[in-house]
Amino acid sequence: MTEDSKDEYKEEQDKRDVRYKKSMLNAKLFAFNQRAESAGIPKRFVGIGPKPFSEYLCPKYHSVEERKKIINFIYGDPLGLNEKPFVVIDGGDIWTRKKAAFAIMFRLITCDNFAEFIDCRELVHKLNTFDPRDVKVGEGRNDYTKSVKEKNVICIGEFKRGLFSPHCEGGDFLDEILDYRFNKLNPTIVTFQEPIFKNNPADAICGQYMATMSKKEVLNENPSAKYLRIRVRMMDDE
Amino acid sequence: MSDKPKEKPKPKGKEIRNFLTTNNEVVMSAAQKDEPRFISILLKSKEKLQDAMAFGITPAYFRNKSCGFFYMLMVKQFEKHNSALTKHAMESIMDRQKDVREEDKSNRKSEWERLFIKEKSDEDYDMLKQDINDRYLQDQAFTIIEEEAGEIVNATSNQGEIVKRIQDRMNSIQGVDPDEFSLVMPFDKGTELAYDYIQNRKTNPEANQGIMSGIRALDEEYYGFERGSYTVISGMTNGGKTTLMFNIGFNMARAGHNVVYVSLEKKALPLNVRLLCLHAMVDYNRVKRGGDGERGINLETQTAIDKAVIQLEDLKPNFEIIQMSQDDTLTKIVSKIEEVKAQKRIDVVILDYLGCVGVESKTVGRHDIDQSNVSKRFQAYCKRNNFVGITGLQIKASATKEIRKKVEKHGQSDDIQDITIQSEDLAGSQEVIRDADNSIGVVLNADSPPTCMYAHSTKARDNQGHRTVELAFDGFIGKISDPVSVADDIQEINASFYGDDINNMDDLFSAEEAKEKKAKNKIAANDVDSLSDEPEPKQEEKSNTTVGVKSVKVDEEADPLDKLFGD
Repeated sequence: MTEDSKDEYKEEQDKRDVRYKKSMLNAKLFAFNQRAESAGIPKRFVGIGPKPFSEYLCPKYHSVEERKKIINFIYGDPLGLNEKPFVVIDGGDIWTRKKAAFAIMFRLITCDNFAEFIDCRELVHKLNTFDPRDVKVGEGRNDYTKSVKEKNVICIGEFKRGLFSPHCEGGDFLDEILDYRFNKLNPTIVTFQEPIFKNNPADAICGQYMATMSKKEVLNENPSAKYLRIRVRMMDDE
Repeated sequence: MSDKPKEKPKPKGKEIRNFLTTNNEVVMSAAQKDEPRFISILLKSKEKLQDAMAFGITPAYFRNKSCGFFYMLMVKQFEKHNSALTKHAMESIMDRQKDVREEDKSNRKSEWERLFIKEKSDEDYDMLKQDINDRYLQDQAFTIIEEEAGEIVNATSNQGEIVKRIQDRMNSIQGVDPDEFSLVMPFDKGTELAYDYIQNRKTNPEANQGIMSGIRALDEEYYGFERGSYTVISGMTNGGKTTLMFNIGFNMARAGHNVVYVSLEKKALPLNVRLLCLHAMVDYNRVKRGGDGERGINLETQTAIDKAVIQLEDLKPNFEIIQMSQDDTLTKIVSKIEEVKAQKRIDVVILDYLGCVGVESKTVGRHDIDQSNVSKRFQAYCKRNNFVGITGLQIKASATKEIRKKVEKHGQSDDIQDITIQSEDLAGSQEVIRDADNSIGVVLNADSPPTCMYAHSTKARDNQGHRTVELAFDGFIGKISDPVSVADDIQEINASFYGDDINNMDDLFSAEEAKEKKAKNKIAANDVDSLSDEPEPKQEEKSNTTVGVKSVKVDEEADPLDKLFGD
């Protein structure tokens, strides 16, 4: 091979590498869209960016500085969000909470994760159900718990303490899930139907983790919980 | 009268025997000289005797009956007592014979002594061994010709069957492919060779003994594939086995090795098209779609392919594709490979894939045993010819579901070591893996098309770790490579989904910040007025009543973000 042809070869090799990277990137973009769909994120809420997200944040609760930091943390720090086991969203209306949750879920998907949105009512129903005939064939609550534990990213939508019953073991199973996910640093997003405030009664009906996350002050006494707290505002449109 | 010399009539039938016997006198004479020399060497060296036995020599090899007799005694003595046929042993054996005359016993003992002193050195051992083998082959061929010649010459029907029978008999001649692989290595020689090998590895670590796959993650696991080794790649249907074997083979060919790819599923032409697309790094689907439109073979694609052709003409990678069909037997496959081998040296043989090979011996109800036999034969073939042998194997349907579940949940941050394919997950006989030198289980991630392949080393000889590695998989180009950098990708991906917003995040609150600053300045300027009964700022009040937590007002010393993160 002559020197000229070696240079030409190298140049062509570089072009091929660029083509390959572009192809891989396109494949990933395609894959992320598919993952969003299978995660339960409606198409119109895929890829909510920093600007619309900033409008969800409650200006009365979060100062400008805080809002900036939240935005920078979610959108500017590519892998940092993977290390926060819990993201807690409350306030506003159901649509805004959901959109905020979808935005964060999709952000995590773009960090090469798989995600799933789980409605809290459905989750509690499955965890409370002892008889395996009431759930999907072949999956009792033990199997279901195991599968939820091990998912990359989950979002528990519209958590409400009232969904739990003192006579069932839903809280214990939920603790098992959240404890595993905390240890493994698998991100869990929880949207709260009711606003979080310090005077929430301390009870373990919904498990220790949710009881802890329901009351902000108690968190300071419990060093094991680590979460990102977001309050959204009421918005008129969907 | 013509002076034209008479043509010798072609021998036929029984005349062949006479013809050959006349020419055999020279051979007979050589045998009478060589065989005693050979026996003499074996009498003095147990290692040489072991070698001759491993080579496959039997008493039938010897035309000299006496030599055959002594060889038989030596083999029995070795098998029974693990010792050479010494003089004492010979005498003892003879003395124990009841039905042999004393004179014969004495003759045998004397013959032993004559043979023992006949050959002083073992320099000619290999040559003598080869000559004895060749003469034995000649004997066997001659016997077949003698028995079959008359029939083929005189046949008036079923000539094809007769020819096939002769062919089969010829193929079954013992010693045609003498076993050059088997050997007995004495300890001192083995130690010497091992020491030389270690020194060579120390001074030339770059001179790899194995052939590299071109995928760093696999090469770090296996240190290249050794010549003569046998690797099984297992996976689900559409699990990436062919793509991986194809990529490995092409990488090896581009590195200068001669690769033969035997395809039982796909035709050669589509594989060559894939190869070209792989080298050019273009989407193979464009070729499938066709046309010169934007989604077909557009200008950019065409240019890339043209340049790839030119480069491949320069590089001349040796990647030969043998196209065969499912159910072709291994014998047929090997004969095709031998045709290639006759023209050039082969380094790597890839058989795609084991489940498609037709079986020659059928075990009723046990297809797994038949498949295992095919695998063993292919492995032995590669070992004897010093090829790197690679093949593919399916995994069981029942294992597929479990493995898919494991893969579904895995993202970038997860520990992938629990994605494993064990030997019990494989379809067919576990003997295939048990006998293989290396085994790689592959599974694609849950994306469609997949973006990632997990390769688990189910078995790696001399390797302690059974690790799972992650490889990048491009389903459009059909390329498997080491993982591409993640950090750069995130930036590009974010830019694709979020556009310029991601770069202008600081501007999102600039208007509000300006407003707040103005409000603060106003408050500061009206310090005196603030002592009046004016209510406290709305934001603070609302925070206190609604949230019931510490003030929203930013504490200049503490990081505001701390409030957001429960601790």
